[in-house]
Amino acid sequence: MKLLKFELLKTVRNKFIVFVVLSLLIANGVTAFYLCRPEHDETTADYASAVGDLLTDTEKKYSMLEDKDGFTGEYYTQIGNMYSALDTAAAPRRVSGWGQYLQYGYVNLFLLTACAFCAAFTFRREKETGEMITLYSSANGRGNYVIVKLLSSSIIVIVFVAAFCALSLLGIFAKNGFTAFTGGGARIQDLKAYMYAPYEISVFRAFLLSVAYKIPACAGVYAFCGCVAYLFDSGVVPLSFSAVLMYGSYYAMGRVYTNGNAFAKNSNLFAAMRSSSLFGELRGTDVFGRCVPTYVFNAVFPALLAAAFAAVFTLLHVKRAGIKIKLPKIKPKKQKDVRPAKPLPLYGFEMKKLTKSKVTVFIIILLFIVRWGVSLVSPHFSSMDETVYKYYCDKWQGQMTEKFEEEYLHEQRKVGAGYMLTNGYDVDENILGEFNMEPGDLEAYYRMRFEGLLMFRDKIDRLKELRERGIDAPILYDGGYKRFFDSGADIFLILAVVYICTYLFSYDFTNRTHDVVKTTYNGGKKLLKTKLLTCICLSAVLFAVFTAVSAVSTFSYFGMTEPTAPMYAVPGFEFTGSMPLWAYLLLMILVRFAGVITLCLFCCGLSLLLKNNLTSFTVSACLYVFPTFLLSGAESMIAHCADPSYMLDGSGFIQLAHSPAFFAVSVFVCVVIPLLLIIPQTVKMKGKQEI
Amino acid sequence: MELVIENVSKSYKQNKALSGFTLTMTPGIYALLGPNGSGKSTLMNIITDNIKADGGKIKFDGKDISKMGREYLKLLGYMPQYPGIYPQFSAEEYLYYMAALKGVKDPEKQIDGVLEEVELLDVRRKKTAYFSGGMKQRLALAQAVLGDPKILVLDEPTAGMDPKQRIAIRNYISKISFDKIVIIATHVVSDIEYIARDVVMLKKGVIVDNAPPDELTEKISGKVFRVNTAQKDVTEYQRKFKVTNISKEDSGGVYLRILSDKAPAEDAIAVSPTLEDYYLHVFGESTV
Repeated sequence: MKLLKFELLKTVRNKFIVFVVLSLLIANGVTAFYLCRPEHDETTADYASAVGDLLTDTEKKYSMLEDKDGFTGEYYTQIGNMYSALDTAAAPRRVSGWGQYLQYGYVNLFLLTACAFCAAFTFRREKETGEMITLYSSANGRGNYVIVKLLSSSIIVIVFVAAFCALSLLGIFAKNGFTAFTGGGARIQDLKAYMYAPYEISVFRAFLLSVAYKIPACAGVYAFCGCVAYLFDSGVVPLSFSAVLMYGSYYAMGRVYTNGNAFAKNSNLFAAMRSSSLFGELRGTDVFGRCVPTYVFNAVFPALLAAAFAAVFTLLHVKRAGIKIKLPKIKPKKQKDVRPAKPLPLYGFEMKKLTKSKVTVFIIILLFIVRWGVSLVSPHFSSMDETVYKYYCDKWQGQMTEKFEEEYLHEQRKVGAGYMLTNGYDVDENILGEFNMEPGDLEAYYRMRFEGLLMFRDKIDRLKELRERGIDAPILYDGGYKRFFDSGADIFLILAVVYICTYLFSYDFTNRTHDVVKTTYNGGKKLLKTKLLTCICLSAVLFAVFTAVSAVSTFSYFGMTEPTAPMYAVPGFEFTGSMPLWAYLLLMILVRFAGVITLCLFCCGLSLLLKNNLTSFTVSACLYVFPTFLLSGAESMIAHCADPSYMLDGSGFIQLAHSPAFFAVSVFVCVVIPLLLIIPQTVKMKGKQEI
Repeated sequence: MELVIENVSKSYKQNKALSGFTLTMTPGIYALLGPNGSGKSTLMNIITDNIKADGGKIKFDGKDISKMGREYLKLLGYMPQYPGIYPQFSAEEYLYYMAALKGVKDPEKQIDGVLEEVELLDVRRKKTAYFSGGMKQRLALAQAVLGDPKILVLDEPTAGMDPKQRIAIRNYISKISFDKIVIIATHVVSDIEYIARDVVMLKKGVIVDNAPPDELTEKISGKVFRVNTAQKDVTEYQRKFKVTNISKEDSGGVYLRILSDKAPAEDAIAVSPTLEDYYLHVFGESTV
């Protein structure tokens, strides 16, 4: 127990961990408050009145409808039947913000980040401070140490989960009042989002269950990051890994799931923590012919992950400590002679520092592999829809003629019939007769064509809108162009650039070499310039390779149709102008490149300021990665402007220019702040010293 | 060649690390001695321009070093107390890197010689990640002397070295000190006893003594005694006098080395004082 107490004290008394976790807690509470919508009491009279209005409106529309047996008529009839039954029902009970709490997902992001961060520190602390050798030589420093470490980690995870969930609840309740704290006896079926939940449970129990449900996933991340930190003796590596794990699985694997890959979904720890998986998912996972409910699978997978990494850590520590060998046995590393050294310019040595660091090389290669993997997965996840979309684009390639419009309307009717058939509506015999199809064939036809046609319809609508404005754009297949700018995978480029810059600039401080370096003739401005130049060059090379990977994987799959067509032929490329597509692509690549260089300068400035590569990496990554998550929920100006998808997505960045406020904040965040960070440090570089 | 430190002061919040420090140095070895927190590292950091003094000036050959800029850094060689060395570099690569930073022309000519002096020539192509503490210390010294600096600032240069290496390094420093101002901060008195031209004793940021080692030891001549006593009396002697050494004799008795103005016992024998005795004489109340 004493050991456990000291192990916990090590974490609690670490000011940096406490600062980061508290910041994440506060950010979580503020986000919960900000995203939460205020709920209003509904009286029975209000409720009955709202239902009455809906029924009146439906009847009015139904009476105006000519084709009462058609799809729309059926729809209105169903609405009438459904809401007539509710007309006399009592108003639903208000259950404060419980529904919003159970739907609030950002807590998972904050929670997993806190776990990853804390584990990265706590599992390498003894190595960093040199205590490991003392630890090995003490009686409880081996097996008992592992037990205590894992126990303290479990306690930290549980405390984190409880604290983050409590603060989310507090943020949401702060806006909705603190009424019915225990749910007022309401069931989750009383919450709109869980109306069809497969089992009945009170909302308060649902809350407790959702809190407990997060523990295995957090334990999985904690154990994973801790294990990697211990193995690599680095805090940056596990943070990079966890970012890749979380973000990569969220983007890449989540997409695979849309094609039915249950394993991919369950390996996504965000999904595993979502309350909807616990209360709302009816889907089961087929395991050896038996249907296992998804929520069970989601809880078991992270728990197994946690157990596996805890076991690896145990093995690593016990094996290294040499319990079986009795004495600590450190295998001497084989010392190989390296090639004779020769004089190099300063930037050559800076490059060498990176290329000779195995961890750095490993991280860069890993990021490349993941980027390549995302490139392969990303274009294929909706390949069936894409094929149909391409089919339509190729079929009607060129200008929108009258003949095209006639054929296009005909196609829409066919697909509409398929939709009705597969949704259980009666289909007009004439339609079946017209297309000479059996109902089964029509269903298959629908399945193949519907999503692709929807994509094509959006394109046509956009081109029609342009034509009304006097801009005539041709129809062409644009799948590759659109996907080339998909910024989801840019996180890997961002991580690589952040890692390189923080490594080169902070390593001298972390390694204490800066004490000597700054007393040398070239250790001031010249070294600063050299490091900046090296970082910029490496970032440029990384950008070129990442862009090439993206271009090859995307265009080899989708092709480059009509590169000389005007850029507005691609819906979504809003930048007005008549430049050809190839020129637009080039311009956007240049703008993205500018974004990468800005990121590079920002990280360099931050590293100079913070003088610690782990801290600099964390802060830079947080600043650049967090807004991506916040963006979808929080329409904040800062979130928009610092978002990497805007930073690196040229079209998005240029769009900001349409709003002077957005553009001003973008310039401030992306240009002024890095300069403000870099300039004073450049001046002070030589004289500043911390004792 | 002259390095003049004039009335230099430095404070960290409420704590005065240096207070009106004044010293003139010419070629030779200057040893800074003093207990922890006496201001040695602060002084070295000010001399190396790593930190700025709150007041006072440092002049090299009459020029203010704060105005000399990079020209001053070209004259400087610095070995910090905890030298950081890039583990991914070999010893040779590290020295080439430092040579590039120092702006040394034709580093090839110097590097082998320096590595030989610090006895690292055989391992010059080994990665420094595999070096022991003593080897890293010697490599740090090698980088400090690279480029033939006129001012050499060494913070605990022999820490972690075995006695043989210690003597070799001591002799090497002595050998190169004829045309350099060498400033050494150390706790190992024996390292500087025979090579230092002047010993500067610091206490709470002020100079308490500054003289050649012989002059300092002369000040306590006749105040160092050797006493043979029984083991049971040792505690009593420690209570009454400054005991600088205790060792057991074959006969079962105990030999004590005592600092005292008068003979601590009738059979006490006066012995020649060492610099260590003088150090304890000055700082005794806080160290014994």
